[in-house]
Amino acid sequence: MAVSQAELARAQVEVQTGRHYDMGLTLGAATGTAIGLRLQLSELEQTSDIAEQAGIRAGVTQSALQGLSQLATDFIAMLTGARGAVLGQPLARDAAQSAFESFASMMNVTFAGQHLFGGLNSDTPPINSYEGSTGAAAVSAAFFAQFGVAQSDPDVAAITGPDMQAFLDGPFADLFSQAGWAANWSQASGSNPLSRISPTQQVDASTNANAGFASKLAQAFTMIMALGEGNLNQSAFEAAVDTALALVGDAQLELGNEQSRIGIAQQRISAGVEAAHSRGFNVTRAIQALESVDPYEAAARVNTLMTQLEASYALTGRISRMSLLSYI
Amino acid sequence: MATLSSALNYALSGLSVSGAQSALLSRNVSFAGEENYSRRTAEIITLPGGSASIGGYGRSMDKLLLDKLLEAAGSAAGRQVVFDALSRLGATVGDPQDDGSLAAMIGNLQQGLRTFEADPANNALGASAIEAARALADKLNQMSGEIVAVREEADKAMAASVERINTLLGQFKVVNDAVVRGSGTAADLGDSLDQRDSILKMLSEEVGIRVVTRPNNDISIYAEGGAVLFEGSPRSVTFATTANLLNGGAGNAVFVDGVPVTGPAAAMPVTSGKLAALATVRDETAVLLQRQADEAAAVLIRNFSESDQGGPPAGPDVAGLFIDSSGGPLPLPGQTPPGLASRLAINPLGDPAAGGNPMLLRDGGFGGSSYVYNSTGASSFQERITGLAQSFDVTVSFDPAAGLGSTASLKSFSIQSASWVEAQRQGAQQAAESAGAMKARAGESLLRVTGVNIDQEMAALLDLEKTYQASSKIISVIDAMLASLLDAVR
Amino acid sequence: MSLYGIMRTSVSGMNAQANRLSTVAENVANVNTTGYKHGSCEFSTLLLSNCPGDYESGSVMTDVRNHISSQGSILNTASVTDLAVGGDGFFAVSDDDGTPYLTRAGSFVPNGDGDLVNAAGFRLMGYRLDPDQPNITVNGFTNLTPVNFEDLALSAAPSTSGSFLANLPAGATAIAGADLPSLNLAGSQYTAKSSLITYDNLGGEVLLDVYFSKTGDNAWEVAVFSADDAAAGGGFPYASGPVSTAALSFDSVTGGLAVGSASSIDIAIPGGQNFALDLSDMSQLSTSYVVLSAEANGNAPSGAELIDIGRDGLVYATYGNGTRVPVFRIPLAHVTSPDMLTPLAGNVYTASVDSGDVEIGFAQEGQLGSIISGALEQSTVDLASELTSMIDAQRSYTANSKVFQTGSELMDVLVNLKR
Repeated sequence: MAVSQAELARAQVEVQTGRHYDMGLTLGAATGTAIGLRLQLSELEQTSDIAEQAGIRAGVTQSALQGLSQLATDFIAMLTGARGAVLGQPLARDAAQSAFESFASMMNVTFAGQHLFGGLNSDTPPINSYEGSTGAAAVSAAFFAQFGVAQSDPDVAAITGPDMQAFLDGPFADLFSQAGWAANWSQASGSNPLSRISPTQQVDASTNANAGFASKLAQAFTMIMALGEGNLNQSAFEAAVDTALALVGDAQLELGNEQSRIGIAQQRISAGVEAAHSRGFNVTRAIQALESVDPYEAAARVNTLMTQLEASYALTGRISRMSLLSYI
Repeated sequence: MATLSSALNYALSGLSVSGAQSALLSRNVSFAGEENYSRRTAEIITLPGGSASIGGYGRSMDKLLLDKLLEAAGSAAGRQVVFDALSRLGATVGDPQDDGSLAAMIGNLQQGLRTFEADPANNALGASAIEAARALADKLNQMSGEIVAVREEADKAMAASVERINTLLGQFKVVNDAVVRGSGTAADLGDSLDQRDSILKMLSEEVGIRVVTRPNNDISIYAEGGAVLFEGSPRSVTFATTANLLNGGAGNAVFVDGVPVTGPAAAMPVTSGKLAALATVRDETAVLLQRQADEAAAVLIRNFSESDQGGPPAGPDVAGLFIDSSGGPLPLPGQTPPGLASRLAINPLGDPAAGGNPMLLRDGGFGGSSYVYNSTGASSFQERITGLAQSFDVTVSFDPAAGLGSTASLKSFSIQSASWVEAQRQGAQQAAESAGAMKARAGESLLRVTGVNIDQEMAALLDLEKTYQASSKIISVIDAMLASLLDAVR
Repeated sequence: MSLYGIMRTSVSGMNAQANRLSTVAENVANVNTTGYKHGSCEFSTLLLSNCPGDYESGSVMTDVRNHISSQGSILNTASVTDLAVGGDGFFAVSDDDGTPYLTRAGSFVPNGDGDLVNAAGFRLMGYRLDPDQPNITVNGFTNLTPVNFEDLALSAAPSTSGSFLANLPAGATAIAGADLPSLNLAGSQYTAKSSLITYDNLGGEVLLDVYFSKTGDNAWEVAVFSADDAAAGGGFPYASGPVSTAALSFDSVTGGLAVGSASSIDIAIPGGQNFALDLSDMSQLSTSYVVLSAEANGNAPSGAELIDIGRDGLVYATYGNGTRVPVFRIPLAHVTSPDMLTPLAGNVYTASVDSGDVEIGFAQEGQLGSIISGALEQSTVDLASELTSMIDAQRSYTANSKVFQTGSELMDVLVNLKR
């Protein structure tokens, strides 16, 4: 009877919770499986959270790249217009100046306090604004070394187109080469943080300021903005504009490549989230299969036990009343 | 010779026998339901000449059933002890839903690291990963503490059991002597025999015994394995509580008559009863779990250890986030110091609560500047965290003495450990249940033979009443006959 | 024909009936006397020789018979020293002078000296069994002493023999020669250990530790130590070497001791006797070490706590340590014709010429019957038959007196013939 009563208490708890009364005792060696499944479930939930976060981050990167691409397009249109126009030079110079500033602010976009284009160096803005930067000083120094005059000197009008072209392809381009870029302009790390899309998989869904498009855009903007300060003769100006146009075109191409690479990563991220969800669903089902009690079975057990107990009580009562004593 | 006078004598003997029988019967009834009471019967004999007399007293008993009960009682008591201890150890695993197990803690830490990995520059995430690591270290400390507590309690229970055995043997001596003294005489030894059997029952719960009956109903008791517990007089059963169980070694052995009967050095081991079960819990089950916890701690320390990043010559690996709080060296595979789990702690250098820097988790450098992994100081440096997070799934070698194979990942090792405990517990419960049922059945069978059935006694009472009435009737008839004869004399 | 003869005859008849009434009176008086055997009167005629046609009346002669051989009914009592004989035997008792008698009155109780005496004050006689078997004289009372429980005070017996029966595990690992217990080293190994309580000369307990060690296939060493010498906490090394050792070899076919193996071990118990421990039933089978029996004789000094008397007349004393020892044997006496015994006061009998000589035997031998402890033999008197005898005797007496009266009247007539 005592056994039945304990059993009844258990069965009632099982009906209420829908789970086994004493999980470890019921599962035995399968307890590890249950724990493993639960671990897997929370891991899946966590990865999907992380991946979703990474997806958002990738989305922000994408829109920043979109902005840069727009900036490049606008800049090309402006340059094309300014190339032969009267007062084209000052116009281009101002446009380039603001373009550089927008470029710098776009490159310094943050997400949750992290600089998206900083690579691993996410805590420092990757690009400084032009004025007073190391890059600006280096450009001035190179200019002076090449032509013997400062950029602001009106004598720059004497620089010929071919001379300018030689400077642009030579010392000036070196300032924006990989080594020059890292030394003069970018605080970013060339490696990207990876985003986890499953317990075992990581994707690169970021880009950084050390990518080619950034240096090319900066090179083009600087070229127009800083060289000669509007006092160049037409041929030198045209040489600069042509080179800048080519650079921006290349940058646009590279931007496109980056965008599509990140797009693919985004797809993988969302696929990872999907997979985590569906696997999570399956794991939940497996956990239920392992841990839960068939409610009907448990209810039936409660009923059987109650009947049994009642029968025992009735029997005990009868037996205690049944005695030869009553008949003596 | 049949005469009126002898008829009177017979009737008188009939009365006295009925009287004695009804005394016995009322005793039977008053002890009905008493587990240790065996039904008494009186043997009526006819004396030469024909009168009736009580020739002796019988006691319902079945030696084989009693032996069976003793055996079953020992095994049931022992298995219950094992199950109880495993239930306590099983509580360290808990319900999978509650995520209180070691495996769940390891999972938490891994997830904490993953979250940190996704945003390595975030100080708070580093601190929360450290918290998860602290919870894990606490879990191992607490597990180890629980194991040691279970072992210490088993040790104390063994001392109590030994004391009880000695007390019972002392009582047994008194009762057995009374039985031996009275056997062969017509005295009613029922009480002493009942008492003796009940002491045997109690004794068999403490330690598995074998009973040998000698002349004069003298009983010798041998422990399983053959060590002498009682032969003429009680032998000494000795045990000293073990001073230090933290070192993972086996505890002190119980000596019966100078022979070790528990533990690895047992010359004549006992296998059933509380004593043997407690020794098993103390020296095997709990020790194995302790080893598992220690192995887990050792692997944790190794997985989080740092290797020298500086140029040759490379320095030795040093402990990282997890350390042995006693300052022991980095545990080598297969050389896990016992009790390591109880000493596992968080390196204060990385503990923000102790003024440490959680970013050491990202950058490395617990061991000093030459152990820094993040050489560039990049704030989103992920490599170290990724490696640490991944380390839980990397297959490493474990000491096979922990009973879970020689290679596994830390995570699967901890899962296997939980499975092991619960499987042991489930097995112990089934064993305890079946042994309990065996004991109940043996008890029932014995009770069927020895127990008092009130209806049977009442029926016997009716019988006795009739006998008594008949005897008294005979006396009154003889009286009337003699009276009429005396009337004839004038 | 003689009137005097008539009167004399009737007088003899009256005397006879008076005798009969006397036996009835005695019987009724002893109706509750334990072990009393009732008496009765048998009559016989005493005739004179007569010539034909003339009759001289004779007289009647009384013969008192004691029905000593009849069995009285046995009624149980609460005292173990109340004894009854169910059978033909008699207890041998003696009076204060030591004169032996026989009796069936067995309500014995210890008197001030510790002797068992019955209601009439006679001492129960028996053979003292300590230390040897009694020297029985079949036809006399020699060697009999009063049964007395006082001087049983203390008794100790040194152990001299015992037996040990156990199975040794055939599958056990053999112990290396250097580790054998017989060498008594700190690290000595053994396969099984047992211990046995024995007693020295003064009844002190000596605990013997018995070690069994397998030395090779079917070969075992038995080493016995005195547990007093054991190292602190028990075990090796003992202060002195083994008290005794022996080598057992077992038959690989039967599992029993092999032919030629030692089958017992002689142990000189410190301060005690030579103790022979019988090992002949030891076996070596493929199971665990199981002790089936272990016994040793001897007992510690202790007073007798319980006395009980068996049906064969053996008086057992049970000592404080549970040892039960026979201390006396109560014999039963017998004569060829018990009814011819001469009854004396106090329900005792003595042998007469007619009864035949007393023979001493033991209960449960031949017709002697058994001695029942806690019971008494009731008187054999039947009140009903005594009362009827009494009425009968009264009527017969009256009839005889009528005959006498008639004779007397006739005498009167005769005397009155001469006026």
